[in-house]
Amino acid sequence: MQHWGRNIFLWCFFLQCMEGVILVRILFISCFLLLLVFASVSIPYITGSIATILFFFTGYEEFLAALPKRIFSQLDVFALMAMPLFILVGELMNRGGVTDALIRFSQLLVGRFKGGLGHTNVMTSVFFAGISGAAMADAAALSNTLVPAMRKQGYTSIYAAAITAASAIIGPIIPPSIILIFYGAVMGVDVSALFVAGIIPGLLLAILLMAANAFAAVRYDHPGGKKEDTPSFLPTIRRSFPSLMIPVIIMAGIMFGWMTPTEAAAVAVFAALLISYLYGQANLTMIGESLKKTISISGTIFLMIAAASCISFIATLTMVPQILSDFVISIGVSGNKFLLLLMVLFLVMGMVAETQIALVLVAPLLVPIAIAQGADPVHMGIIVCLNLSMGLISPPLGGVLLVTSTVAKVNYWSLVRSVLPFFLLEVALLVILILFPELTLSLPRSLDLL
Amino acid sequence: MNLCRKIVVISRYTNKYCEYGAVAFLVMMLLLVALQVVARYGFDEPPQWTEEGARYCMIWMGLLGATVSYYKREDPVLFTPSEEFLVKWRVPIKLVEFLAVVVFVLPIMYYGPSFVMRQAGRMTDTLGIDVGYTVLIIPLFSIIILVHATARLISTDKDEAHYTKEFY
Amino acid sequence: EKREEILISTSGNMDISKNGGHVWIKAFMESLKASEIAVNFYPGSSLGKDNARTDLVQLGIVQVNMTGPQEINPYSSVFYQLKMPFLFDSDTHFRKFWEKTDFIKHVNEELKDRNMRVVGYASLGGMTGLFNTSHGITKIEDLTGLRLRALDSIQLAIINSWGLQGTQVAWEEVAQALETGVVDGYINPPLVPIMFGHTNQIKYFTDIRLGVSQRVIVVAADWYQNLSRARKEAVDKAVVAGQLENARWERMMRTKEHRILQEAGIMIVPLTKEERQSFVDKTKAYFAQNQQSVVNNEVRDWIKDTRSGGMDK
Ligand code: NA
Ligand code: NA
Repeated sequence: MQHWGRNIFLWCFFLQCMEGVILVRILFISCFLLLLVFASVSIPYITGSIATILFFFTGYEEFLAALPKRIFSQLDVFALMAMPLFILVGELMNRGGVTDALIRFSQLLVGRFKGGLGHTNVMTSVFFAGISGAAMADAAALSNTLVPAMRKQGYTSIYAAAITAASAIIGPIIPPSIILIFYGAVMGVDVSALFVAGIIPGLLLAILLMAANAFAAVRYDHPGGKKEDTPSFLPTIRRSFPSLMIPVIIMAGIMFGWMTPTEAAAVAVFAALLISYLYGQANLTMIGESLKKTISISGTIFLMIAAASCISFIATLTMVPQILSDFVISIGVSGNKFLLLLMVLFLVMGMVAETQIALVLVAPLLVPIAIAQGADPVHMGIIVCLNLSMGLISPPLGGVLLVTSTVAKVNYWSLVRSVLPFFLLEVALLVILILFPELTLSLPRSLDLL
Repeated sequence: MNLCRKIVVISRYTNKYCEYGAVAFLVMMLLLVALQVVARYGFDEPPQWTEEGARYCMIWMGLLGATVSYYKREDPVLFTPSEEFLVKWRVPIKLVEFLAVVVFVLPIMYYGPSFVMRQAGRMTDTLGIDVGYTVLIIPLFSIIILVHATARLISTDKDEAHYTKEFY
Repeated sequence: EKREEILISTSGNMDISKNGGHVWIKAFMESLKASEIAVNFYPGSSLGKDNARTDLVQLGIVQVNMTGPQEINPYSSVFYQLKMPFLFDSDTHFRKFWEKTDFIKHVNEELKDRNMRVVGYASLGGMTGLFNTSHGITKIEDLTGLRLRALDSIQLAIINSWGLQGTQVAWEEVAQALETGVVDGYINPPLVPIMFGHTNQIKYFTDIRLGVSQRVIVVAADWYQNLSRARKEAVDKAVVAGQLENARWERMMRTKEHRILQEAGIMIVPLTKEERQSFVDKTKAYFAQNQQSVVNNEVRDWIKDTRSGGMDK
């Protein structure tokens, strides 16, 4: 009885704190959201319809007229082009035997270890990171290639998807990186120094994930580690050699400045076609299926970008990012404590906002405070980028999680749950990077970039 | 044929052509990017319009692809209900889903024509085509989605089973 | 007008030390605040890229926007003429041209049915020059072998007129293009490599004074037309404040910006008057030959009239 009384008292207090109208609106949105979720409405339409309602509830409904342009211009981005092309590469690789060849090769390398394909997944992400500048492309391509392979070997879909999503974050840390280029532009920091600074943290992240995979392999008795898992040496090398050339072509093309990532992706499509032909697996049906699959997956991703941009539009209009950053400034701490507080704030930002919007709105407000307290701008760059990238694997709307769950066909919330251990590991890495700036700064310093 | 059947059939054929269209744009985008690579090393003067052309192909591919993934129910959901739940709540679920789509897409459709008119008369940077044509995909997308949503609302289970079988 | 406050948007994060556009906006907003007009300010392209924000102005839901000239060019043939190379001798010449001729009146006539109105411009400090990663350019022959980034077809023609190949690269891709050597340099105002962090690649600057570089302040025409008298006066006053403060900053930068470039490790390459003239001649000849110049007689006269000495009384 006493318990009930206290609850009612708290509710009355809560009601008094808020204007009635606002409360009604919050209740309405929450109920509507629940209704949408239980009617199994798909994510882009949940996001988009909530956005429309928010425009009305915040008094910015005249901005609905601007949505067509907003959506178009959010999609009209050069860097996005690499995404469908890399998805197509993944589709062709799967159907043309390239993925099988790569998997056999990686089995040769790490198959003798328990959880070998999990290790391969992380290793491939390191390799992909050197190819692409964005986590989303990594996630899309690898969910499409390695997850089915892992499933076939006896991993659960959800574990395969989780390690794919977690290791996709390596993508924007190891150069090239779209986020780092963006940070450099926004903060006026040299991009090549940022690129070089990302290498060691990116590799550390890979090592940590492989360690976690090794642990999980023992705990859940993942395949690998038996003698018969290792294929014979020479035939495997001979068969996988052409496939291994694809990433080499892409890497060399980008590193030596012959091609942009988008162009490299297009070249990779043709390379995948050629190699499928060499394997005797290229035919019109396989090409047609790959193309159809690609447009459908890309379509989903594009619509999610569009719907998310409607939400971030209303967040910007109502000054949500500023309110958050003002709050942090008002707490008034300094040094490592401030950096850790920033980390928490950026984690929250990463959860609710688009990476680029978070970067462009909050970083310029808060990073200068840290720099004034003695933090290095390049060090801050790596921390902020890792920090915001982790928003891609955190709920409610983690871009990489959405892509992975769509492509790998696993339940979104189960994926959220199984990514959590990896996510916590990445938080730990973040703290280590904050406390030991030398991990980030020593390499660019030794190359005279600082 | 009654109106309901008509809408279901229209939706089905629209999707078929959207899929062809999206694939065509994807292939075109791929070829344009490839042309860019070849041109840079093959010719003296690489064409300037390939990047822009490829970008517009990407947007058209993406939004037509989005209608296809809606039609085929390939967009991710947050909650997968059980068969029993689906049977029991079939009508309310259909209504809520229709409502969500309409709330998101209707403003885009409503403001689409005036948006296209505002963009018209401006030329793209290198291709020199009217921007108005390139942005037509936005209202087009909203109309196609609304057609599919309406068809899904009024179709029977038999229809759904039928059109998933017939084409895929 | 439904909303009390004026919505103001721009690209870039507020940086009044290096960004002349932000100097303009800051003075503008402070003047509005002094007149007790509330503003909502959205910097950092948070309301979208340049062309998305133009749409917001055309809709009248954002009232003031600072943007690149490329947003005006498609709708105003008069404004478009500013893109032609080597029209102005100096920033001062351009400022006089803007303030003392009917130029902007003509522009706004053309923009009217797009619900846009240009009220002012912000100099980004200095005229556009030639940046590159490879070696100092003291004469036109030094350019041989360089790949320059072209912003658009006119820059492409300019680069061609010097006997070079231009490569069109989206601005977001420029850092990577410089890094990988897809391009070796670009044409931009002096502070751009500093503003965008290209100082690790860009090493040389030649002050060829190709053209003016400005951000344009656009307001929603209907909104401006329907302002109450008091509010309109306050807005006009704020515009003047912006123009004055930006002009002051521009003068200050004239002495400072070379030092800023040098401190960032960019060498200022000397260019003799004769050598600059050879750039001018080559480009003008090329444009005449290809009939690419679009400058009409009226604009030509305004430019001539405001050249130093003209219209001074
Ligand atoms: Na990368
Ligand atoms: Na991976």
